[in-house]
Amino acid sequence: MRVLHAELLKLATLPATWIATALTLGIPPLLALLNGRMLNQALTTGDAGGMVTTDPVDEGFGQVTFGLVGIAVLGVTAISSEYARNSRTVGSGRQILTTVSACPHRWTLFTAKLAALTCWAAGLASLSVTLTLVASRWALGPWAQPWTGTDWSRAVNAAFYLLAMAWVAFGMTALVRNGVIPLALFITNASLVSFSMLAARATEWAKYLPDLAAYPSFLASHPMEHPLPASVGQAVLVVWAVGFVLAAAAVFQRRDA
Amino acid sequence: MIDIQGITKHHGSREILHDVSFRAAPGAVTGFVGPNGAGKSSTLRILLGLHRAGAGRATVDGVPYSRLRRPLRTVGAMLDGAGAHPSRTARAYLAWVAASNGIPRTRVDECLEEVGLADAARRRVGTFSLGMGQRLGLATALLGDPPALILDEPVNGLDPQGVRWIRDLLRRRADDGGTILLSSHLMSVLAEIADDIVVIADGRIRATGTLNEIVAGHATLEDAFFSLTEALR
Repeated sequence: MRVLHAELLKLATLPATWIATALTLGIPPLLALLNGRMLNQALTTGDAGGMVTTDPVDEGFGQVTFGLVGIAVLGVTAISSEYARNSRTVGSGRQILTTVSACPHRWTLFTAKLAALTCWAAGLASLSVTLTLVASRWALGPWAQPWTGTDWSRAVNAAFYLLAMAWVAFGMTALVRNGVIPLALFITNASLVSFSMLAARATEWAKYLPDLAAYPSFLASHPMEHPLPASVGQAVLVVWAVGFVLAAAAVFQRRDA
Repeated sequence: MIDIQGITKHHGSREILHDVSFRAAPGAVTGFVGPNGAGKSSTLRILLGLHRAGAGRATVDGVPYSRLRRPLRTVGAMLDGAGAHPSRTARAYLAWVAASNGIPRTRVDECLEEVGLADAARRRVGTFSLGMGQRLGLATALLGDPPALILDEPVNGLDPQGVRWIRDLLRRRADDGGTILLSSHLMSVLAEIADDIVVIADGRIRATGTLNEIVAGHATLEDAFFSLTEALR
């Protein structure tokens, strides 16, 4: 518990954590609000304008995926901050030396780190999904679909998707011990150019990528013609997350700090 | 008592430490001296469980560092200045270090005061000077009020006042029965602080003894060091 407390303090006092929090809680609800208003207007006036679809079934759920930008920043910096080198004027030290000196038992340390990230990411993911769906329904007004039991499970799956992607980002960064490449990969994929979408056009195997595998569990539409069934997709996402975390744990245990 | 016995370490095919053995006794300041790249930092990192040795054993009071439950209460260490993330404040940094070892939060401000950083407690570490970074590193080492201190090049970047301050601090702690292991390539500073000297070069221990034993027959510790290391080249 001491080490977990320390890891939570570390997260809470890292400015990048609060940037990640603001991005995760800010971007998806804002997009849901804008998109919901546009859709509301289009359905009310019958003028679709430039909208690709006027089907409100994925409204809110679709915007949740943009929460990945903030979640990735959180997952990456939770571990990359350990390896960020101080400027030479402060002695070129890295935090990992203090971290391992303070808790030399590597398994305990890794578990505490993962647990702290999980606490933060799970809270963020739940709140982000809730805010996004509420914003979406408010913006859609009378066009919001009736809330059903399926929507509850879609919401939970969407939040789990964000949490699992935090684990993937964390594991990947722990393996390479540098935040730049994972951060560039995740942020680009979630916002500018989706490598997953490009891969989906090139090969059927793209449906096994973590994001494309998870989408059927909370989105009605899918960019691929034959996506994985929702439950299989969830399992594939879990395999990605657990795989990265276990590989990272094994390397963290063996490697010199 | 810090006890290092038969430590060997390879980086790839290159042997960087060869059968390194020495002791640092309680009540004394042990100076660990050698040129840059001699193996000082690697030895200390193995002692602190940060790096793994290929062979040998390093213990503090008979226990490997990695088996200590709250290590910062037994051993305070400083490597590469402050091991703090640059965007964190000095106080926030020491707060998590204290929490990790169940050290009361009150020690954070006490230590910042002790090392002369009380006014910079809320400043981000990335804005610190080298001397301030060194002082923050020392605050980290002192946080658990440990009986043993392991300091790697602690006087780098300190002004003459800072050097005197650290000399007095280490002397006081050694006189109170503490074990101090201090690495440096600055012979003049070590000659003023250390009771015992361990000389390392090219990953091998070249000599161990009291300061007087090592210097015997030479004008200064620096002369003794060069005669010990260059004779073997």
